[in-house]
Order: sequence, then C-alpha cells, then structure tokens
Amino acid sequence: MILIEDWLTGFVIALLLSIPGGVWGQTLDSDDIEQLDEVEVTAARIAPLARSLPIPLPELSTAVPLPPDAYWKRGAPLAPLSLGAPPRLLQDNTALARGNRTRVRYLDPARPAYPKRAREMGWEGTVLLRVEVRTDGTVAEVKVEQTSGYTMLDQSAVVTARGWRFAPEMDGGFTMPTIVDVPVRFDLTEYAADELSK
Amino acid sequence: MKTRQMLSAVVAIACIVLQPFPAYADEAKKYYNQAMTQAAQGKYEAAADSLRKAIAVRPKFAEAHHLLGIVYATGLRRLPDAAESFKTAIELNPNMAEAYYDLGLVYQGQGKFAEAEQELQRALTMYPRYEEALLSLAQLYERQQAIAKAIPVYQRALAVKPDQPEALYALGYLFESQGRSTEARELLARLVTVQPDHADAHYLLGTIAEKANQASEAERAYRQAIAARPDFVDAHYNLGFLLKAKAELPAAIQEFQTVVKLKPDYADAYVNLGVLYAMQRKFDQAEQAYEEAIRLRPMMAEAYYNLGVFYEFHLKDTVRALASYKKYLELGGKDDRIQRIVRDMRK
Repeated sequence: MILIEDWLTGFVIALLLSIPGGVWGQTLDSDDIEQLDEVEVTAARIAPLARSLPIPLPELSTAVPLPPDAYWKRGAPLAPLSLGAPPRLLQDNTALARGNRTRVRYLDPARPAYPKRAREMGWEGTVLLRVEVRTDGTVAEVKVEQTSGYTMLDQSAVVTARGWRFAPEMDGGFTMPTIVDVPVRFDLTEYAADELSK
Repeated sequence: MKTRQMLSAVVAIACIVLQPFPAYADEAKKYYNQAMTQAAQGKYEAAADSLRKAIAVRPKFAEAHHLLGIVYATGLRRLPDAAESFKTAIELNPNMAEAYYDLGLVYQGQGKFAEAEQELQRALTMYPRYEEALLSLAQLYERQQAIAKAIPVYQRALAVKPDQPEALYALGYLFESQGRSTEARELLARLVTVQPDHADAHYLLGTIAEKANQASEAERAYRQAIAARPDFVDAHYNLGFLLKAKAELPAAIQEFQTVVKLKPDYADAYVNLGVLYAMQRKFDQAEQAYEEAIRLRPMMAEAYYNLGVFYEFHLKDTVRALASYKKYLELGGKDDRIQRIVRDMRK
C-alpha cells in the first residue's frame, strides 16, 4: 500500500512538473544557465533503517571575479594642436574594485532523502533540476530538466530542492534572480560494502 | 604695433626721399605729414583725404600710395582699395619691401593665400631678414596646415631674432604636434625664460610633461600658467586631474570649481566634480554635479556611466542605477559590465 502511495505521489509530481507556465513559460537560452556542482545522495543498497548519511555536500563553484573593463583610459596623449577643452573625464572607478560578479551558491543545502523503496529496488540515477533562485535567495521554482529515470528519485530531489536557500547571484550592487541547473545523483554503490559488513 | 612700425618706417623713408625735392614736393610732403598725424590720431578718413591730396600734387609719390594703402587696410578696412594702393606703390618703387609685405597681409585678409604667399616671398627676396614677413609667411603656412613649410620659416625668423616670442611659441607648438617633444620643450623653455608670463607656453610645457609622466613638472607648469593667467580654464582643468591623481581631493575639487566658475557650461568639469564629491562621500553634492552635467549635455554617455556607478555603489539604489546604465547604453556606451547587467536584469 505504501508503495502504491509512493508511486501515485510521484506520478502527480511528475505531472505537475510537466505543466508549462510561470517563469518556465519564458524561453531560456540553455547557454546562459549555469550548472552547479553535483549533489550526491548516497545510500546502502539494503538499509535496515532510513537515516541520513554523513557525506559532505560538494561546495558549489565559488565566485569568479570578473573585472569590468574601463571604457575610459586616462593617459592618452593630449592633442597638441588643440589648446581648447581637454578631452578627458574622470571616471568613478568604484566599479573596478566592487563591480565583481559573484555566482549563486548554497547557503542551506539539505540533502534529499533516498526513498526506502528505491534503495530496496536498487534504483540509481542522476536527476538534473532546473532551479529558479529569487533575489532573496529562496527558491521560486524547481523543475526536472532531465529525469533520473525514476519518478520517485526525481520527486525526492524536487521536494528537497524547494527548501534550499542560496546566496543569490550578485553583479556589483545588483542582486540577480538566477536560474541554475543542479544535478542530484542518487548512488547506492559506494556504501553498499560498508553496510553489508555491518 | 605693426602699423605703427610701418608708419615710422614710412616716415623715415619719406624724410630721406623727399628732402631734395622742389616746392611742389614740399606741399605733397606737407599733406603726407598731415596724414601721418591724422592716422596716428585715428582720423583715418581725414588721413586718406590728405594722402589723396598729396598724390594729386605728386602722382608718383610712392610713399603716399603706400601710406594710403595702410590707412585703407588698417583704419578703414577697405581691403580692395588698400591692395590697389600698395600695387601702385610697388609700380612706382619696385624695391619697396614693405609694400610687398603689406600687400601680402591684405591678400591674407582676403583669403587669397597663394597671392599672399607670393607677395611675402617677394618681400623676403628683397630683404631676407625681414622678421615680420618671415612670421607672416610662417603663419600663413600654419593657417593652411602646411606644417612642413611653416617650420623652416619660423626657424629662419628665429635665426634673425633668437628670442622672438611668437616664433618660439609657434615652433614649439608645431614640434609638439609632430611628436618632437624634446625640441618643443627646449624652445618653450627658452620662451618662458624670455617671457616668464607666457601662460600658453607654460601650459604647453605642462601638457608635454604630463605626457611624459612627469607629474610634478606638469603641475608646476600648470601653476605657472595659472599665475600668469588666473582665468586659464584648461590649466585649472588639467591641474585638477593631477591633484586627483595625487589623491589631493579637496585641492582637485577646488580646481574644478574654479573651472565651472569661469566656464559655467563646462559639463565635463561637472562630471569630474561628481566623481570627486562621491570619493569624499559628499553624496548630495555629487548627485547635483552629475545632474548639472547631464542638464548641460544630455547626450553625454560618460555622465550616465558615472551616475549609474554612483547610484549602484554609493547610494545602493539599483533602480536608479539601472535607469542610468540603460541611458548610458542608449547613448552608445560600451562598457562590458554595464551591458551584462542591463541584459541580465531584462531576463
């Protein structure tokens, strides 16, 4: 009975995620969407108890400073034939020091649960989530960009991702709403030996 | 000055030439002298009248024709009549170098540059060390942007009179325009020794030093330019830049304040004031300065760039920053970061 409920829930979520609309209604240029580091979800193939595993989540890629180019360069030779108005201007160079771009990063990366049934059945795979991060760092929307092949795993990742908190993308003084892809890998193999030895 | 010199020369020549002449010559001379006095008093019509009487008494009185040409040209601005008088003077006395020179000046005033050059060259053929003719010919070439021709003529003028201020300045200026800064600097240094209050020479020395990254020397030169001419806007402007580079912000602000006081519509100076006020965290004044710059020149992309940075980083007002950046891009701004921000905010 529990199993049937799980499948039904998964089906409903998959159905909901397939509905276009909201921010997803807009055309996204996939080249513009950054893919964050993979979130690993590992578990023993046969787990006596459902519990969280003490595997540290990977750090997301750190900010890459992008120095803005100065459009104005002082020190150009003065026009010697003109004693008229000097053709130069001061530029506020604050942007050179503080105009860096910082990428979105995790603040509260709760790990998705590995559903018991999936662990029993040996279901593994990587689901690619497309996550819209609001300017306040909360998640506006999550959709499955690429399924793991198992709706149950996809659903677990989606439900958890909705509660994630991010430090939003900053560009100088601007806080940017961002859409990022987050791969979540469900993997049973790595700790199977440990679990079996217990 | 030239007219006065010319008048003196003409008087001297007239005295020599006219002395042995008979009674009718004395009458012509009387009119001639009368005209000299009248011209010196600015009574040009009367002077022209006296000279016409002198010519009526003695039609071949070359000096009277010459002086009449001068009166027509400098007093009455009747350039075609002046040209005719000088030509007549030359016909009567083909060795009168001054008449060729004056005719050259008249042609120059009429925009007849080829004719002017020809007459000045004739004057110089007759009298190769004719300082005024050399200067005028050099200026004629310079005016036509014939720099390669102007330079040797100025050099000839300096050979005649090594401390000639006009030639020193012009040659320094032209050398600098040709990238010959060392020679320019040497000439201008000579000039400010001869004429310490030559503001333009100090200013040009300042720009040359600044180009050579000799900031303290440039600063000194600009200060001397300002001492010689306190309302020298460009010297104040450039000095403001140097002081900003030295992080002497209040002093830099003072220079740009002087600039806008002297030239209230100088939008660039207001932009610079905006940047400097923002650096001093005087945000109200910075905003006012930027707004004034934009009011004066609404199409100034750089003002919108700086205003955007001001809103973004100093006032933390990203809404107004974005509006300024959009305007900056509309006006042709190319800054990569601004393009990225505006693009990303549109998504």
